[in-house]
Amino acid sequence: MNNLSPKNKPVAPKSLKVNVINQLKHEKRMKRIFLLKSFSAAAAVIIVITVLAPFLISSNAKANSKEYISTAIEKIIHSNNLSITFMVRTEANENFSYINPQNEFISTTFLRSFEAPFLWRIEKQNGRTALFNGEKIYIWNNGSNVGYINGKEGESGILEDYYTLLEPQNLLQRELAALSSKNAKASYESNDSIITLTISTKAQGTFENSYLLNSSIAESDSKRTYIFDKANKFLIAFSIDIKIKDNYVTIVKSEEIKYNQQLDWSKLNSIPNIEWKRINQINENVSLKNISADQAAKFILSSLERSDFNSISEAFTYYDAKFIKDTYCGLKIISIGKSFKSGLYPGEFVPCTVVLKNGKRASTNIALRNDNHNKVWCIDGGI
Amino acid sequence: MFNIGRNKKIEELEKIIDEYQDQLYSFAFYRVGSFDVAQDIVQDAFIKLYHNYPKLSEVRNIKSYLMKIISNKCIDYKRQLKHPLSLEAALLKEDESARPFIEEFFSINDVLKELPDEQSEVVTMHLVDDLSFVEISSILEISVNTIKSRYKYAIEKLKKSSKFKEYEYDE
Repeated sequence: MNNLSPKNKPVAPKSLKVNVINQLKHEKRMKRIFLLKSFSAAAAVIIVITVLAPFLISSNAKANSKEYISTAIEKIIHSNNLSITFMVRTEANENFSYINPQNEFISTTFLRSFEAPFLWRIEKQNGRTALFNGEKIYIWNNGSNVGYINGKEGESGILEDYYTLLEPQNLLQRELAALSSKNAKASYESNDSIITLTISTKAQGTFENSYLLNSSIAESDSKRTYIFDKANKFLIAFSIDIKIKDNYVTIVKSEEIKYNQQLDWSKLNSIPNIEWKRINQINENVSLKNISADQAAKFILSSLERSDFNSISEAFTYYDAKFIKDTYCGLKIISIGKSFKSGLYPGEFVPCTVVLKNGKRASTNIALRNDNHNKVWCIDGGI
Repeated sequence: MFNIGRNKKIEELEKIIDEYQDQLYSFAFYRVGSFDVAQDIVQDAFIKLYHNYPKLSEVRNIKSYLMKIISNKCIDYKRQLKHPLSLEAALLKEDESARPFIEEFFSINDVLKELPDEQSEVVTMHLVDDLSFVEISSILEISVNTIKSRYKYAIEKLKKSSKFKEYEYDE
């Protein structure tokens, strides 16, 4: 024996195992409501659909693929409008990028005018809708009393995605430029009537922490299949599969693609009569800026523990204040873990376990981001 | 389909946690001197284990694997500290029941600081963590002979220190 052999050996607290298991169980099923992300994600989906995402075509298929994609893009943008009905494994009120291979398919419609004022609308059946009316972008969930509105173009970084969407020529050039990349595989098949192009790409983002892996198309190893009419070169169908372990699972498949339809734009342009908040305008709160995500999470949860919602109301700009106060004020903090980043999400996740005032224990990864004008940390997912 | 495989893997992990969590928690605590930090580090290690291996049954030496992760995380944590925590400050951060552990942590580290890092690590693993030289060799990925050699030189050095009180030790 010696004085380096401890007499006291600490025993792991019960919360250690609970925290680990809760975090792992929560990873796949956590509902995310990344409002800001939903715009760029919607844009990503639309990019995939409308310009066929010719990401990174392999050299073997490149020449034929490039020709068909270029032609198909021109066919689309020279149309007056485009309407697509497709099925997605997702949840109705989740953001547009959210996918879950375990979910049932939900019907989604996308409508876009290629004539001024370049309207578009994407709508999950009985769920989330986003609308660009030529001036502003609106987003709302079915049944919600609050919707979000984006202001003038160029007001925030996320507008750049819309800008790309609204400028098909630029988009065309950008996507064609991507053909020169070598970071993916493509196959090309042809018969008498159709051309089938399949593109496989790796998950985008950093997955040192795999929390967001397979939570969106971009954040998954994916395989996209596009079918073109050989005669008129229009896109007539597409599907997107993501790789789970060694198997591909179809998570998006088109039902119908129509060009140059007579559309009722007044109906497409309609928005519900609810409260509208500016999406990227987070009011100043000095307590929630110039700190780390961990500190922000601790400050927010501590304030809720004291039922002091006023001190952190800006953190819940994307939520219904009454719901947050009713549900979370008076909670008791059990643990707050270390923040981590995952996938393409621009913010950070902070694991935490709390006991709500109704006695229910809840473990989650709070999604925090501060990429707003005032650099204020706000929550947009995980609760 | 996915839930079934996943739930089974989580059940496997639960058994691993049950088996090793106390030893790993102590292992982390006697490196960082904080219960909260030790818990975070051990939790992260289990989560990393889960994510890094499709099948946990395929991990050859789980304890060594976890201790290696934890050891590295503890080193990272200590590097991030601008100033080493004092005993007084550490006691303030924990409740009274933690006092014996905190005092012992500081007492042990007061002795170990006489040694170079590579010797200190071996001595800590053998005397504080009760690991065999073979286990230490597996964690540090260094030959057993090198481990024994480092330990021998460390003990010889400690014997010259008034802080080290030895009754007997085994190799």
